[in-house]
Parts: sequence; C-alpha cells; structure tokens
Amino acid sequence: MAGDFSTPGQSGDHAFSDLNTGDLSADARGATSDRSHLNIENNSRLGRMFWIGFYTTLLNILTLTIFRFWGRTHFRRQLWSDTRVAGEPLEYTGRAMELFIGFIIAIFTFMLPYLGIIYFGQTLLDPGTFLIVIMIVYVILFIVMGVAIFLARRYHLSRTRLRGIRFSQEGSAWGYGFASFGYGILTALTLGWFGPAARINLSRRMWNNAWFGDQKFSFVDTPEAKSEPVYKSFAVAWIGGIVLYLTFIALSIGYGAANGGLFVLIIYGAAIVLGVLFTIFYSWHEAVMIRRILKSLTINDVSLGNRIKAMDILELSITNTFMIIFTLGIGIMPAQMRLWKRIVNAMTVEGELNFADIKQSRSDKPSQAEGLADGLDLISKF
Amino acid sequence: MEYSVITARFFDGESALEHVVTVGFDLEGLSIRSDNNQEQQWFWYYRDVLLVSQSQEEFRLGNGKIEDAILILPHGAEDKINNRMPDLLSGRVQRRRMTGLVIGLVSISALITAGLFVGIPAASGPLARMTPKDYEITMGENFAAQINTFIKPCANADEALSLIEPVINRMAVSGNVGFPIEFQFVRMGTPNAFALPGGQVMATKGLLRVVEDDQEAFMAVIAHELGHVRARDGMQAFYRNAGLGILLEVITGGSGLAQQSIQLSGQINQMRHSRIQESRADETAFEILNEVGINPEALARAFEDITRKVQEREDADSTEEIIQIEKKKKKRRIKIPGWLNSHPNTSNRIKDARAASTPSTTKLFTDKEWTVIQQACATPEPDGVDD
Repeated sequence: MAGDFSTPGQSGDHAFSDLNTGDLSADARGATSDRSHLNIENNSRLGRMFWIGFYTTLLNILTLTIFRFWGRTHFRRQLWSDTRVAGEPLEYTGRAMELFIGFIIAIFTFMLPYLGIIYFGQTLLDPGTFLIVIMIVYVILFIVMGVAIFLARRYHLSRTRLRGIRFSQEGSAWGYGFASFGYGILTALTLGWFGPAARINLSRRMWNNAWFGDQKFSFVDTPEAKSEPVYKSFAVAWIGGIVLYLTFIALSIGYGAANGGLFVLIIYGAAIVLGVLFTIFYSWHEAVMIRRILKSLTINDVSLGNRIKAMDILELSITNTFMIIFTLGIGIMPAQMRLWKRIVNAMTVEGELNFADIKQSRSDKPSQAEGLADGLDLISKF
Repeated sequence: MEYSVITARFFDGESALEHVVTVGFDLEGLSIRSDNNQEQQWFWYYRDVLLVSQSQEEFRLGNGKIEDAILILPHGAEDKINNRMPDLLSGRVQRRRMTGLVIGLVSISALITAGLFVGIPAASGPLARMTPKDYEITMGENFAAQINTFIKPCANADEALSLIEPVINRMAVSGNVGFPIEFQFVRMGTPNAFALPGGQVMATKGLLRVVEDDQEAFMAVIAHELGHVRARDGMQAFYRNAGLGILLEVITGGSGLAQQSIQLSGQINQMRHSRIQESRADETAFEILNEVGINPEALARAFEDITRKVQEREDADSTEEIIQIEKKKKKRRIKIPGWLNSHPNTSNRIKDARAASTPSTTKLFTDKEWTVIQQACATPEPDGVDD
C-alpha cells in the first residue's frame, strides 16, 4: 500500500468538501475497470519523431555520439506513450543514465578484453596461431551476441509499464545465446533454410518466458499461426535472392570491359534495381514471419494476431530507406516509428483481459541495461 | 489558498485495476482516496511527485518513492497543480537539467577530443619506450608477415641481400639503432622505404629504380629508416592508431573502428610519422652516414630522385586536372609553411642534407656489387607478375 492517509497538512474541515470533477467523470471512465477488450493502437506523429531525431543527431555530433543514450530514451518514451492498450498508454520507465552506465560496464567487462585479445593476438602470435585464436573469439562473440539480444530485451520489458504493471522477461541469457549460436550454425549449414524455424524457435523461447505482471505470455502454435506460408514465402525470397545475385554477377562480368565511369554507373544502377526487387521478394516473407509470431501469442484468455501485409513491408522498406537517405540519418527514428506504428495498428486481439486479476510482477528489475548490445552495435530497433 | 479536490484515475502499482479516486490538494501533498472503497487511501508528498508525461487529455504523475504507482489527472487540473507544485508543469526543471546535461556532455567530448589529438600522440612516445624490445621485435615480425601477404618480397634477391645486409648491419651498429635489422626488397613500384617496429626495414623495387647508379642515395634512405627504428617510431605509430581506434570504438559503440585500426596499424600506410620524427630520422641518417664514410648529401639526392619520379607521374596525368589544381592553388593563395605541415617540407629537408655535406671517404659497394643489388627485383618473379 502506498502511504498513510492521515498525514500532516490535511485539514479535516475542508478535505473532499469541494468536489471538482474536472473533465473526468466517474461515469465516463466507469467506477473501476474490470474486463477489457485489448484494442491496441499507436498514434505517433511523424513531426514529433523528426524533432527527436533532429536534436539527437545534432547533439550526437556535438557530443561524439554520447548523447545517443538520452536521445534513444526520449524516443522510446514518446513511442511507448503513443502506443495505447485498452485506452491506456504504455510507459517507458528506463533512464538514459542506466543505458550509459550499462555501456561503460560493457566496455570494461567485454569490449576492452575483446580488443585486448585482438591486440595481443595480432602483435605477439604467429599468423597461424592468431587465426585459431580469432576463430575461438568469434565463436564466443556470436554466443555473446545472443546473450546481448536477450539482455536488451529483458531490459526493454522490465522498463515497460501498462496500468502501473511491469512487463518482465525470465529465462537464461546464456541459454538464449547458445541456442541462437546453434541455430545460426544450422542456418548456415542449410544455406539459410533453417532460418525461419530458428526465428520462430527463438521467439518461442523469448515469449514463453515473458510476463505482464504475474500473467505469463505463451507461444502457442495455433492453427491460424501454422497456416501462415512461412516456407513458401521463404522459398520465393531465397530463389529470388539467388537469381538476383547471379544477375548481378553476370552484369559485373558482362560490363567488366566497359570504361570506368560506365561500369560504375551500371553496377550502382543494377545494385539499386536489384535491391528493390529483392525487397519485393523478401517483403512477403517478412510479413508472414511477423504474422506467424504474433498469431502465436496468448496471455490469459487473450489471443493476439496481426494483419500486416507484404505491401506494408514493401512500402515501408522503400519509403523509409529514402527518408533516411534524404534526411542524412535524421529520419532513422521516424522510420523505426513508422514500422512500429504499422505493426501495432495491424494487431488483432481476441478475448478480454480481467485487469483486476493482474498483480504486479515479482521479478526484480534487472540493473543491467543494454550496454552489451550497444557495444556490439545490436541496437537496431528502438 | 483555497483547498480543492478533483476526480482522477489511479493505478496503485500493485494491480492493474484502475481506481477512480478523489484527489485533495493538501498543504504538503496529494490526498488520494478511492471512490469505491473508502478504506483505500494514499498520500503523496509534493516533493516526491514527478511528472511522468502529459498530453492534451491528461497529466500522468508518478511518485519518486513509490515505484509504479500512477496518478492521472484530467486536463483542466493545471491551475490546481501549479498552485501547489509551481515547477512541475513549467518544464523549467527539465530544461535546466537538459541544458546541464548538454553542457556536461559537450565538455566531456571536448576533453575526449583533446585526448585524441594531444593525449594519445603524447603518450605514444613514452609507451613505445616502455615496450620491451623482444615484444617489439615479435610484433614487427608479425607485421612484416602480414604485409608480405600483399606486398611480396622480391623472390630472387638472395645474392643482393647477401651483399647489402652486412653493410646495413654495420650502419645499424654505428648508429646504435638497438635492434637487429631484418631487411627486405619488396615488389612495389612506388619509390619508397619503410621501417616497421622491431627493426623490420623494407625498400621497394621502385626506389632501386629511381636511384639508378647512385648507391649512396639508396643507402641514405636506408639510414633514414634506421633512424625511425632507433627512435621506435613504428611502435609509436602503432600506439597512436590503436589508442585512437579504441577510444573511438568506446565512444561510438560497436563501430568496429578499434579492431580495424589495430589491424591496419601494422600496415604501411599507417606508418606515417610526424614532422619532428622525420627530421629526427634525417639527423640520425646524417650521423650514420658520417660514421660509415658516406656524404649525408646523398639523402638530398634521394629526395630529388623520388620527387622527380612523383613529378613524372603527375605530368602523365590529365592536363585538365592539373589546370584545375593550379587554379585552386591560385585561388587559395595560401602557402602552408613547413612548420605547420605534419611532414617536413621536402625542399627544407634537401637543404638540411646539403648543409650536412661532408665528402665521402669510402665506397660501400663495388660497381659490380651494386649491379647485383640493382637486379634484386629485376629478374622475372615466379608468378610472372611485374609490379
């Protein structure tokens, strides 16, 4: 309970004698919310995000990018508060100083030892031994990348609040790191074909350990989720990618004899056109994967889903790319917002949640922020 | 001050249930009472109240002492809030904090920048001197092996090496260089020579070509490189590059700059030296050349040979380009004095070398021997590629 009502400063003769209901009436809100349908929406405005992107970029230049922790926090606060679940905004409670300190810790516990190995390896070992050492370091690095992704996600959830209730992520960060490494090997050995299964399995691992207060999320292979054409769409993207790659190689060889200027023009032109074509092939698969994962999520009696289309991904990929290029990077945050907004506004929800049943999370807030992910340059989304 | 109350919403941070509450603005804090259950009451001191967010519809307040509880006051409550907590909505505190933050971060950045451009170069000298020589030798061997994957040693230089190595070693001893010298002729057309850490010295095929019969000019360049070896300039360059990369990596976060700079720091193009280092290496060269009986003026001839070669290459470039460069030069009408440039002005170096001139007292190689040395890189290479 949050405090004692009998406190100094309260004068009984006027307490609650002059009721002013303001704009909010009990009728308008209901006495106390109970079961609610979880409509989810985002109403972020592009102008606001551009402003955050603008001053973050400007101050990043002046502060050798140290301001990025503050800029990122401002962006998240805005994006979270623009996202409403059952009419209530999400709240981002993370602090920039946590990110900054997390990053400093990651520098001393991981980045400097890693750079030290590279330094001493290169300068003191013969090339053969150095190659072995560097291969071992890279294996560890790949595992640590998975750990970093998990820790960043745990931090995000623990700093996300709805109706005063925190989200949380449980499970083992190292377990996730080893799993993502193993899946990465399988994906490489199968020339990418294990990739979609890996992504689904890693999402399952994350979501089966995610909580909203004392309510656990579940990742369930519902018939709707399983009906998504994961491998059909992947085949299109994979075959399309191979064909486009071979086309690029053929063009490079075919016009290799052309003079320098013409060759560069052809190669760059081809790269842009083929890049757009690949985005067309890949967009379907990306939309399918987003739907596949979100359709698998349940919490309590509520099942989530999503209606995002390949055209949404395609349109966003192309327009966001141009937006980022033509604004010299200022548009990165607005681009991230547009993707988030499109996904959120395509969410579907079945069932109702009884908020009265949901109690506060018993998980401790992790003190570790996302410094490791920042150090490894894995902070690509929000 | 008139006491007032307002109806609001409240999440207590314990459950997701929304409470409709009546909030009283007391003298010292907010009295919060649930409308449904009179037993549920809270009191928030004004000093603990924080503005979480505000929108056109509402003000969301938190409490610094009570985690996760949120009080949501409707739009229209500004006057009551301002009466009791004048700074809460004004944004003055946030603006002050933001200004302080920006000033603080810009100051830190200025210090880091000073560290990059002053601290690291200044520390590189003492660090190089503190580095154990064995360590530097091993490092130099590794760097040379890495460089040789791109710039191959001349394959048929054994006889030339057997002639030149004893002389170079004698020069190294005379100059008190402090490292055993590992010398290579390398297959590179540009006339140049390099000193890597730990006594690794390379001279290019291009240098052999431009000096032609002037063996003294060639050996003067080698003496200059021995000057870099003695001053451990290669090691300093390594520390400069590695330090810069690590610092930038730490600041920018995962950009890979440190790893790249460490990997590149062993490459030839990163072995640039400062004006002072070049001048010092010239002086060491004069000293060594005098010791072995060669006129230091030979270094001036080497510079002239190299400059001539560079000039010939420029002449071969498009005339239009040169015209454009000349136009730009005239437009600028600013001549950078040698002391401002990171490298000493070549003409000044030539003057210095001429000033140090003393007649040669010996000839290092017979004409026949020099012919053999000149052919170090001339015979067809095993891969048939002529650089």
